[in-house]
Amino acid sequence: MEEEIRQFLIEGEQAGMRYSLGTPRSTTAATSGLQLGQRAGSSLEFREHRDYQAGDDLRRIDWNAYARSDKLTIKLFRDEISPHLDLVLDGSRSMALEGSGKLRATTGLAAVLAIAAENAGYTHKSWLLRDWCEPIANGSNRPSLWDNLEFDYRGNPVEGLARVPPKFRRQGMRALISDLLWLGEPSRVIQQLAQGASSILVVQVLAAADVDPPERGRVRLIDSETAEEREVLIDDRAIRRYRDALARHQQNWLRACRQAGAVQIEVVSEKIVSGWDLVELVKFGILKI
Amino acid sequence: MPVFTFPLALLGLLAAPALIYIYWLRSQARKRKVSSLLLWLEEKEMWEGGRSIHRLQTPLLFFLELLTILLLVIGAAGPMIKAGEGGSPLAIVLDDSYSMHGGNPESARILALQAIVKELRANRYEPLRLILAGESPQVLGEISTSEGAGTDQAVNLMNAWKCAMPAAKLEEAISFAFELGGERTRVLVITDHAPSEEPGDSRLQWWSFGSRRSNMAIVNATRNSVDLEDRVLLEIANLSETASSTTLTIEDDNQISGKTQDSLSLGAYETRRIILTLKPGSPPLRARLGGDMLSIDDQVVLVPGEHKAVRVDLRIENKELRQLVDKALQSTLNANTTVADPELIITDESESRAEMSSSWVLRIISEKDAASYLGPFVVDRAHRMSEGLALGGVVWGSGKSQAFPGSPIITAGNIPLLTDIERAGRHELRLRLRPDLSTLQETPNWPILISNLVNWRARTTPGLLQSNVRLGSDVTLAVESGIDQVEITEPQANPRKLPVSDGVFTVKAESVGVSHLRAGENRYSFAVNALAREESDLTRAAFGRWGNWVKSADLQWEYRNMSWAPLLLAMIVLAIHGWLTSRNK
Repeated sequence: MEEEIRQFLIEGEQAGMRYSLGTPRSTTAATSGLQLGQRAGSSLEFREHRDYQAGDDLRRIDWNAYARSDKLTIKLFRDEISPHLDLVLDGSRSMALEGSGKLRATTGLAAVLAIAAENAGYTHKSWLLRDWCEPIANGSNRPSLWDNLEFDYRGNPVEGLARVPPKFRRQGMRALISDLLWLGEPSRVIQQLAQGASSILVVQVLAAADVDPPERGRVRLIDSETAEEREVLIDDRAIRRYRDALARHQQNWLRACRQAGAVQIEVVSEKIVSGWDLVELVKFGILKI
Repeated sequence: MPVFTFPLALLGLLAAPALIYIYWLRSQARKRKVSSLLLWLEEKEMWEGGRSIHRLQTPLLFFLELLTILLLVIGAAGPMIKAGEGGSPLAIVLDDSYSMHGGNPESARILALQAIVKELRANRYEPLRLILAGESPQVLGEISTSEGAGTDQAVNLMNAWKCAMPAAKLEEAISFAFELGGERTRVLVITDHAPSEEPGDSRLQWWSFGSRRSNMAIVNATRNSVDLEDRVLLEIANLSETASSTTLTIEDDNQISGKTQDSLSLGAYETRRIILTLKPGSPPLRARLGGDMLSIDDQVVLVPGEHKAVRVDLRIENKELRQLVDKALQSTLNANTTVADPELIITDESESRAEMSSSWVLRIISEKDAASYLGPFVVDRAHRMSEGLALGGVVWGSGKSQAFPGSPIITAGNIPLLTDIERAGRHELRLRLRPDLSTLQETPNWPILISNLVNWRARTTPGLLQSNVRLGSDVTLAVESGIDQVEITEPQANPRKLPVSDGVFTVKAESVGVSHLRAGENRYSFAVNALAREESDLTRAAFGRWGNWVKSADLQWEYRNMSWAPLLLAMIVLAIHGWLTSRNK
């Protein structure tokens, strides 16, 4: 397994060599500045005012403007940022779903982002989200040197994230690679990631079988994480209901991401690993050639 | 109860297990690992209460499909129901030969009885006739089944179905049954072998209850008194495709000469001949084989025979003619030429003193005015003198006059050649023959003619014609004048008295074993043995049913074809199936 993961990481490294990390077109609502610095700076530069939104830092309210207009307004500054990427990998067992390309896509994408960050002058640190968000051994080095990557966690990653909040670099970019298939309020996770982040990227890695169940008939479904079983009859109507449920779930995440200014993209593992065509990430400005 | 025109179509019911298997395979859930059950929570589990539409849907479709198969198969089989309430006439022809006992206790007869009872209880036949097929057909009885007790009556009647005949002339019995029953009757043949040809779509059904078995049997047994000694011939056959062995026990009934027992090994279909010589007057001899699937042919009893030689007085002047007659007499074995108290006189005199005695006379008349006749020869086949004669190609030299005394037995056109005059039980036969113009004496017809005469005369002399007879053959006893009844006691039966006709008592040998006759003060014994190789051969037995009454054009008017009903129902069920399937998509 370890060798296999290392092979995937090397594969991702090679794929990411020709990219550099870009800035997602949205920024976090919880961050102090709207615009992200392209390079390191030392001064705070006023940029503009905007209406207060829930979650904004109360310290940024412009009380003078309030006195003038009777509206809560906050000041936005061009903030000084550190070009750093905190890369969080979902360590759930479902990320290594048997018979799918999820493990290869997850580790490969992590390697692509890490290498692209290096290419863009970012530092990076990799985390594995299990019963708590733990740093990956050698996670600041090149992906091929990462160690102890294990995707066998059977619990809910949300709890792990809440139990021991990770010490992400302030004003850094944060990326979460996960299938997001767990129960829980998405905004809790996003808020956790958004604390002090300059931007957030959420990459949902799904297997082709997650997107479109291939089988019809009587099927005994086994949860890859909990081993819970459920015998259902899959027919056209059941598949339609499944797709609706997936779409609703993705909508919840998308809504939470939008509220926090995060960018969410979905990739199908089998599709992405066949040739490592990363055009979707380029289209969203996450990667630049 | 419906019957089917094409019962083979019922094999289509094999589709039902196939359908069940398909559904069974479909019901076997495949295992599939998924990232999470999170998105499947809306789907109800299969076992949850059975109120899920999926759970209801599958069994309903299954039962509809099963019903469709059933209806289609029934429709294809062509169900026919009787058009009216009345019963159909039926004649059951029962094979009365002893091979029906083969395989005792599960013999063909017992299996057949069970099947007949089942058939009579299932269907109504009016009237029901039972016909025994033995050497000749015999009506066992006629039953009206309308009173409901018809089956019991039939069973009672069939108690007389003993299966003790050495042959069953089924063809004759079938023809007889059709003649007896008329156009509407159907005939059911009960036997132990397959028909020579398939009955097809006729009024005939053929049910066989036999099964191929090996059998060791005594197929021939005779006992003759020759040259002051009794000679016994036994033929034992292994009627089997494999070699077999048994024991042969020979003993006399009086236990005088003791018992001998030998083992006997015979190859496939091998016949072994055993010849024994006994002192004249030895007691009845019993030969017995070790038991097998048919017991009736494992034992024979041979009683000492009474040698009945006819005293013949030859009064023929013509030397050439005398030689011809003498030679023919020698070939008959039971004629002694003598001049003292002759029973038969053969003479070439036109009239003689014999007319005054009780002797029979054969007068051979050679007329001067004669011609050679090539035919056409007309023969009275009912006369004892004509037995075995074949006159085709014979040249017969005879007188030309058409007027000749006596009843003609053989004529050449309108010229009498052999005539018979009977006077008080005494016969005088006149044979017109010119040997110099004839070829008759050079053909087998000549010794046959003389032999017929000697045998005929022997039959009328008091005593048994044969003491050891085969089952089913005639036992003939000539009695002295004045006796009009003979008492017969058969094995395991009470004595019964039967009439004598023309001084001769004849009875059919129907019971194996030693029987006794009493005619006046005289007592006789004869032995009956089952000696029919074809009946003992059980390797040709078969089990099966042939023929279909429903397909018979003669009987189809009695039935109404109901194929349309199941096919219509099948279409309705298929329509419901289609609607349910489209609704669920």
